[in-house]
Amino acid sequence: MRRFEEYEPFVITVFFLSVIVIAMFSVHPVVVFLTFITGILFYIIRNGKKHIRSHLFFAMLFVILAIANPLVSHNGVTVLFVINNNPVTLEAFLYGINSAMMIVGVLYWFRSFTQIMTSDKLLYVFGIFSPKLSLILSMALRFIPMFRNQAERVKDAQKAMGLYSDDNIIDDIRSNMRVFSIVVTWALENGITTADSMSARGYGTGKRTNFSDYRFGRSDIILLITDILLFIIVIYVSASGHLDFNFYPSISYSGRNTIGLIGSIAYGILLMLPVYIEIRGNIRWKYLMSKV
Amino acid sequence: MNASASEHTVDEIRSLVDGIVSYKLDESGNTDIQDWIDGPVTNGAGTSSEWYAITIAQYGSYDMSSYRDALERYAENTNVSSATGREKLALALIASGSTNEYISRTIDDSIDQLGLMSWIYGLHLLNNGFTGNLYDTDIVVNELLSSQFEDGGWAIMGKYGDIDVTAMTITALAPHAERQDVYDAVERGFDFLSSQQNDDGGYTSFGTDNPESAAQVLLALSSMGVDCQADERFIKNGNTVIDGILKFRNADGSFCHTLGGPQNESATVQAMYSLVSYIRMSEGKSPLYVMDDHTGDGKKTVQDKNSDIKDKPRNTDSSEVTVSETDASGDEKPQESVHSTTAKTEKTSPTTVSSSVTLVSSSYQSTLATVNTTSLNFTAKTSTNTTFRTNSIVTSSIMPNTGSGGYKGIAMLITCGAAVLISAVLFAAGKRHPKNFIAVGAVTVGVIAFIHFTDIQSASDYYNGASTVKTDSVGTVTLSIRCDTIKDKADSEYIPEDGTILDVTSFDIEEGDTVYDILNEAAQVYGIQVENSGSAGNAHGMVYISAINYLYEMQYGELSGWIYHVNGVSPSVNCGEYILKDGDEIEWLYTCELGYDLEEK
Repeated sequence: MRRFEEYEPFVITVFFLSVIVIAMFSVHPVVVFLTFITGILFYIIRNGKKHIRSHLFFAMLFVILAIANPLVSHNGVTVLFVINNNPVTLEAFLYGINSAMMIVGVLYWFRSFTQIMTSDKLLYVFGIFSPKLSLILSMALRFIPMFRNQAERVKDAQKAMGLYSDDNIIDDIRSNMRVFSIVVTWALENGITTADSMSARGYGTGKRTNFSDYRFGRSDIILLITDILLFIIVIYVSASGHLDFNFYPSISYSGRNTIGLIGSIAYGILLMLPVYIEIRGNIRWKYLMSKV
Repeated sequence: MNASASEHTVDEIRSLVDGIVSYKLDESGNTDIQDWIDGPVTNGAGTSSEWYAITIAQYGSYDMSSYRDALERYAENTNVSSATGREKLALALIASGSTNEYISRTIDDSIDQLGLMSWIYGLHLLNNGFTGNLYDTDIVVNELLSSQFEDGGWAIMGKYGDIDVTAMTITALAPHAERQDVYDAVERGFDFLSSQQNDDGGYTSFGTDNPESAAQVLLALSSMGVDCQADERFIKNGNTVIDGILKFRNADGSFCHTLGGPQNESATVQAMYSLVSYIRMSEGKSPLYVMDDHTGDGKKTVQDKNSDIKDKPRNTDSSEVTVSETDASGDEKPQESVHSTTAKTEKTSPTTVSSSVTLVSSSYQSTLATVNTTSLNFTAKTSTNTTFRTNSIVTSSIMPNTGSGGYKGIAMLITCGAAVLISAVLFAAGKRHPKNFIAVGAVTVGVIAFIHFTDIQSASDYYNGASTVKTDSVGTVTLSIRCDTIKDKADSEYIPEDGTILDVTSFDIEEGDTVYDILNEAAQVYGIQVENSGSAGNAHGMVYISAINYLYEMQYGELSGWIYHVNGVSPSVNCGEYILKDGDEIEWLYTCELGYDLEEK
């Protein structure tokens, strides 16, 4: 029994793609809510109580998105009040909450995706299509943690110089901006150095090949087939109009129907797949640990 | 005075007044005048029915006690911020037989608070025998005499007389005509008014022939005891001032503001009281604003009345009950009745429309009454910002539902709460440097300032079903909204069968009104959804109308959207920049091909 992140990278990529495609193209509140809840659930199962800051960031993002929509979009029949001759409506407000749930939910799934799909897995997946592309991708992706580490080091150096006060947010921001400018300069310089170094070692003179050691096992096949089946069901149900939902100008939807319900359940199962695999892995791990 | 034969007999005029009364009765569904007084008029006490109450009290002998009690409660419990608004209430109190101390208080705290009009209406209160500590009749009369212009007229500002203000001033001065200087001033005022009269007997104010100005002149003449049908100065081509008013009369007895226009509340009530004043003059009774003692024979002099009033017990113990303005709209909704016949509002949500009817009509009526009928009809004609400000203050102060204030208050409270919360979090997190809290405070102040300068209205206030008060109307334009191009294409519930969202409807315009202003007014009056983008709220910026009645741009093809025509031609400027002139015909049309599918003249 493997944990979700130990599955074949291609299977994982297909799973995330199917979830994100459905989540981004359906506005039905049930679908959106499922994406949102399971996104958070999966993230918390994998990370526990860590990353409080990202939760805070997502909460703020949620509030801002929910409030911004009714101030920008004035469609809807239930007028709450009127600002500068433009009506602020209940429908726009609900739509704002719905799209905020969708965006934040998808972002949570993306967070999990980047955590699971480490650069070597990405290299493997994209190496199937083009080894050159995967080299560029790996270099680009490597750059983000590198940038972060360098920023930490510069910050530590500045702290040692006594330039940081830790009780003042404004000074904090100004110091961070200074650090950012230092690190950007460093990154440009680093890019040139890397390019020189690579050409000195003969990169780009011959055809690139690619090697990765990932097995495509029985459980991978089961997960892939389940995933594709559920994906097709959900896409069929929403394409046939059984999961329609309109916010504007007044809320209207295709009603409670069996097919729509089946679609929602299928999507729920699809979303719960990694959660189930992860929980099962956790229990097994703890069980085995207790035996030791 | 010339003794030429009267064109309109007193009986004829009396039947005209009865026509207005029966129009009001029909409108409210009452059959008896006393029921009307106890019903709609009483319900509108303080907010909408003052001029009708004063007029009806001076027209016949009716029991005004229910109205009086309602108005006394309103006066006790409501802080009317405009000086002329308070004076109007006081005058209505007197008319209904009240001797509430509110009247004397008003004399002291209102005269000289809102320019010439507050002097004029203060003098009306003094004319009825009430006294204040700060002002007496001599002070006020002298003030009015000293503000007469060289041309014989009076005006709120500038140096040339205004018809309405001149007539109003003469009306107030009339009871003091035994003073020679007052008499001379009034005669010069009459010469001015005579010179301004049109050939058809009517009057034109700021480019618009209207019954209100003529009504004020008739009131001034009658108050002075001058028969307008006998005085050669006011007969032009055989037409009298009364003819100038009557040409605005509708078949149902009501009056309109512009020829052929819809029934207009201020035109109707002003025509009514001016005709009543003529009847009183011909019967030898006191001027309209010098109230009868309803128990006596009505011919007592001002001095007699004065002593009478002083003998009466003071009635001040009625302040316990709060007036609920929400219920006060009653049945008196002339604006709504007109609109419901012309407007295509069946598509809008019922909640919006119904709430607008209950809540706002009363407050609007009062605004109309204060602004249009009494003071600002004349003040704002000078079309300056200062006088217009007063207008908006009146509106907000009388609004029983302080919707905008409420929303703003809540928004500000939330902002402050968020600021306190953030400060608490910062404190708990150990970020205790004072600069942090200063920054949070600065942001909070910024947000509150932004909220303060944003115009927030509740839905019922905004879609109030009542047209904007146009005190210095410079003409009338018509507006229609149609979507003929898509009426067969899609079966949306927001596309009417005949493609007409708003039939041709006329609107008054003020100087500088744009197509956007009128569209907004229509949206408010008829509850039509309009979404604008660009610099929203700024009428003279780049305004783009992206939707009307939930029909959005690009909804029926990439090149679809709303286009406006003025007099059949599509102008080359945006609707927030097109300044309207009298007689313009605006059409808002839905196009599917960037306007090429629409016919231009």
